[in-house]
Amino acid sequence: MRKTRPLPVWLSALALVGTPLAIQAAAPVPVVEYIHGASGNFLITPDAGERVRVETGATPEVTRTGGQFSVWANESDDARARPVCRFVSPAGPKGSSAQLLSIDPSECDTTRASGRWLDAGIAFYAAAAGTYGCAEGTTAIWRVPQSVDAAGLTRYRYTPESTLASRTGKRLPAPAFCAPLSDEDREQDARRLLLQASFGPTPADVAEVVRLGPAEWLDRQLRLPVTAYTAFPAVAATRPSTCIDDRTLPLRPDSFCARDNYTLFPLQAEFFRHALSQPDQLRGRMAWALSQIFVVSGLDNGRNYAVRHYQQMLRDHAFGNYLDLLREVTLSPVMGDYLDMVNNAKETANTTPNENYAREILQLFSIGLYYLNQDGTPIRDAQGKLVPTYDLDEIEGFARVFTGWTYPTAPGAADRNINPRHYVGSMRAVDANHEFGEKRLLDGIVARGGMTMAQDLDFALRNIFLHENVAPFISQQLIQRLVTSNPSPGYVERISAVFDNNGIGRRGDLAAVVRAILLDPEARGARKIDPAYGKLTEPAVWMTRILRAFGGRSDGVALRAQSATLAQPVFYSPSVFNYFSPQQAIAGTSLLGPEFGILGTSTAIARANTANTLVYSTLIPPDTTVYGATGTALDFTGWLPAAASSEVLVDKIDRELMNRRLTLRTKSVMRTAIDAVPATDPLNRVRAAAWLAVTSPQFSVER
Amino acid sequence: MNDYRRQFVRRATALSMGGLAARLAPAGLSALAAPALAQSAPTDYRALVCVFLYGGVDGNNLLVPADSAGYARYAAARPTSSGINLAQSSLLPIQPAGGSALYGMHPALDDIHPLFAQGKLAWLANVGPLVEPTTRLNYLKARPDNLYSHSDQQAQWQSAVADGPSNSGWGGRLADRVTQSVAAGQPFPVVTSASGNNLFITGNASSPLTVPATGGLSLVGLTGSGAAARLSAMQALIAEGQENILVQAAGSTTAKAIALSAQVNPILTSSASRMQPFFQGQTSGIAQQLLQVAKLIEARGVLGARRQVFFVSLGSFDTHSNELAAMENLLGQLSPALKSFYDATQLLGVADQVTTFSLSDFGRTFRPASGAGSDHAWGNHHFIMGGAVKGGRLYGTYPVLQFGGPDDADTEGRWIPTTAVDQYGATLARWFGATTADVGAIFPNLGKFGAADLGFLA
Repeated sequence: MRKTRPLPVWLSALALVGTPLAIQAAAPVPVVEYIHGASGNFLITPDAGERVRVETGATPEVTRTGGQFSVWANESDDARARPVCRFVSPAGPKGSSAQLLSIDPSECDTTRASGRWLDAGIAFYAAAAGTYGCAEGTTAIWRVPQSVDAAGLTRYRYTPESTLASRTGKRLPAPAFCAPLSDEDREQDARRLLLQASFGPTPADVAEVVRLGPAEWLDRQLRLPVTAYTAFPAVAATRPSTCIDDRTLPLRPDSFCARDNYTLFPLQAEFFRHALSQPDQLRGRMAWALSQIFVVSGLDNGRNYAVRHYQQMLRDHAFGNYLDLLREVTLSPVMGDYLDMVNNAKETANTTPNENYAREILQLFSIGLYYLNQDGTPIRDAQGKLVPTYDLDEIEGFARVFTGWTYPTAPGAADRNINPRHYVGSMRAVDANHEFGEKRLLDGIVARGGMTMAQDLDFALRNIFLHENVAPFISQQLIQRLVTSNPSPGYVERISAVFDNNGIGRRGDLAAVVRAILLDPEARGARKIDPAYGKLTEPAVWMTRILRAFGGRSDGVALRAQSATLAQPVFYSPSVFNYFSPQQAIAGTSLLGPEFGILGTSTAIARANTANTLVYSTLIPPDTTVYGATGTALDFTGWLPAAASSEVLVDKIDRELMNRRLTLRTKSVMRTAIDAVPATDPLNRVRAAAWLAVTSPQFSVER
Repeated sequence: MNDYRRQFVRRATALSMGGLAARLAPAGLSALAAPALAQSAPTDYRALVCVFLYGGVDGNNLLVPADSAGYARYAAARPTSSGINLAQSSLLPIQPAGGSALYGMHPALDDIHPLFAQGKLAWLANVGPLVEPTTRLNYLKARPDNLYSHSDQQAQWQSAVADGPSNSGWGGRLADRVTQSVAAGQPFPVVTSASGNNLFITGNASSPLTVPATGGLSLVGLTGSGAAARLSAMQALIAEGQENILVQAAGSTTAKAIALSAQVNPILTSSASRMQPFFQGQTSGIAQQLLQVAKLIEARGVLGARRQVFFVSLGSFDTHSNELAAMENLLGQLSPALKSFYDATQLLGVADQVTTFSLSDFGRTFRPASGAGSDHAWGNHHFIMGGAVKGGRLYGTYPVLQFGGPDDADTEGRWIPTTAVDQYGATLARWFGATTADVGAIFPNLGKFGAADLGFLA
């Protein structure tokens, strides 16, 4: 089919003078979005010459939005390529007129026949959407009505951004067409996936995701074996006086008995070692996310072996069922100790059952305080008030359910009603301390009296599990932990639906949930331009991102110390409310930004200084108190060839760390900074570039 | 508090203030720095220091009736067997003026106990978040949202809004208002936190400074060839990506941090500061934070600060179990740090211009919980310390210690507050320099309650 050239040029529809597009490449070509200031009309053009004119200031009334996608220039470029017809409105003034694009031949015909539009021929080529949306390797482009122009024709915006197409609704509207992802798009999407699903993109992982595609990469991740934390032997609840930190040289593996058994030092260091290299990256990220929902803290329990068991349990269940996870959490002696379920006894003359676990399992681990719609927005009553999910009666009911559990019996010890502290295995049921009466649970359900302890617990956990809030409450938080701080209600609703039913009728399938979160159009696709999109990288992951981007290796010791400096001491949350709240607002805005809860002037400086330590240390020396320590270092070898030219270096930084968001102006300021370091010192030229990249807010916000 | 510090404080009080300063400040620097601070310090200076006790401190064991009838009621509900009984003999006795009842402070508050008799410390009994004046009969109708939840009650204490969400705190709103009046033109932020971000310090217009709990605030490594070019490139990068709100927010925090660090770092790291010796030997987080605050107050002249709100905190008061040991430990950190801070303000001559007060998530159930602890409750007792405090008194109304009694929201001893957070905050804000119109704006529900000024500040 012969290519028809558009009649008026793209941006003008509109009287900009330009030469017609001459496209020969078989690879997809970019389409760039602009906005016409006076009318608010969105315009797109695939015409490179026109873009240059606009961006060099020929048309100050038209500015770039940041929106961009790719199309095929020729039908022969791809077997899926179909023509997209284009019509422009006869209305003026220039830049304000509507244009209509369609891949549907009958709509093209109808529009032509209407006589209201000027036929601009074939715009470009794209793929048509199928029953299940757009195929892998393409991204949905939505046609979103915006306003009406002077000729009474609808102005549309053509965008790959799902949040601009619809912020609500379990199903997104049907795409107008499916745009091919260019190699650059695929690489950016792969890098974004690795920001969301790993401890930071490495060049090798980006290549792997590009090669496999996001879905296949995720499916492989879901099948990988679980990386295990080193098992530490159980130690006495109270540190024996013989277990001390012995600085006598030479260092032995057990020299620092007190630190290594009664603080989480070894576990924290291993967390970072694994984050840098574990193959099951997604599981690691998911477990880290879960550890910030089902919080326990080293502040209250520093026994390394104990918290190791708990964190391993989160890894083991990260892709399992939520109900199983909730049961494991509930019966964990570490959680039992942290939130006082362990040795919680039925009512006596002087005491009532402890309410701590009852309260937090409901408020933080499952349903939250208010009834939610499936899209995560709160339900309001007739007076516009929020509707509480529970009251004191229910708290007291659950507090009574959670009575009678004591520590697991240590090997070789006799069972007792109040076992001494021991943190391996699940808590043990003791009938004598359990409240067997009936209990008021959620939604008016009453657990009948006389059930066994196991039945009582199972009944109560199922009561929670089946509450309608669980799906949106947990889904929204997982989205926030992995993808974006302000998911659209539609995104939450789509994930809630998967939480409720994984496709084969199972509720609570976390593997299906995390897969859906990461494959949703709001997570995937071409460049994201929604001003509310993304999340601030939390400090622990911000550090691993730096190491993974620059071939870093570490024994984890320096990283665990730095994580405290950055207000996120790993596994030492200040309280059960985590380092920050999922409801944390960004000051001065209406947006949420959980991670902003620990970003202030103090920690902002600390981030830059941590970057300085990581980037400018040839080796952060091994801690002389840690047996087998190797220290921490980045490896810039692969970057040195680029150091000779500041232009090449900045382009590499832009591509590999900034997802190609640097403007020409900033690139030039960066080059000045790099060129201030002599060419004879390539390492420090690379370091300057790296430090500038990782201290920038663009690097710190994942999008 | 350790013996070394006890001795030090005794010695310090025995010495004349000038003599102490001369002994402690390194020669040379003191001659330059100290007079410079003194000369430029505005005479009209006031500071509020909020000490937030995270987790919900058990006020029932902070302030206990100590006469025989009162203590008997206490001990009946909290017998020794409950594991959370404070022995009558261990209580630090206080006799509030204007009343006959005798009370006892928690034994670990020994350092600040004498301040009560000296009239520099007051207690405010049974204060808490309220939607309207509330009794046992009507509390189900209009009560704060999500009573007994940590996060919600913390937010209500920090925002002074009990009937819905709030995006700002009363410390931040107070800063917003005084920036338009008594602190107009003040170049330095009104609010400084040595304990991270939180709702209390968040204003609508003003934005707070956070400083580390210990140490300075400065960018490191920006030395040598190319450093200047690198810093300007960093600032160019901060200005990028502004179309994204999260990028913008992260960038503006970093830009502000860099700008303020140049001013703050010399103060926090100055060897000429006379504050360090007051906190010698104390390693607790609360002592370190109060030391940072003291250093900033010391430098108020250099900073051009006339009004400052500070935020410090101490956590782990959520004593569902093993309460006695936990409180002994935490109050054992708090009490000497507070006393050191008070002494430091005396040396600076601003003891009358600095008022320190406590907030906390909520009070705890008077009824012991399984495991020798107590559960989440509501009204609580708080202290106010400083030279401007009309101390030696108990403000508010101490609750009737009776399960299911007139002050109990249920049967567990969850005290229904008889004074609102709004009134507590408004009293502090008025002293700080807020006008009647200001306090009305800062505390939107203040008009629903009785006295807008509880009278505990001169």
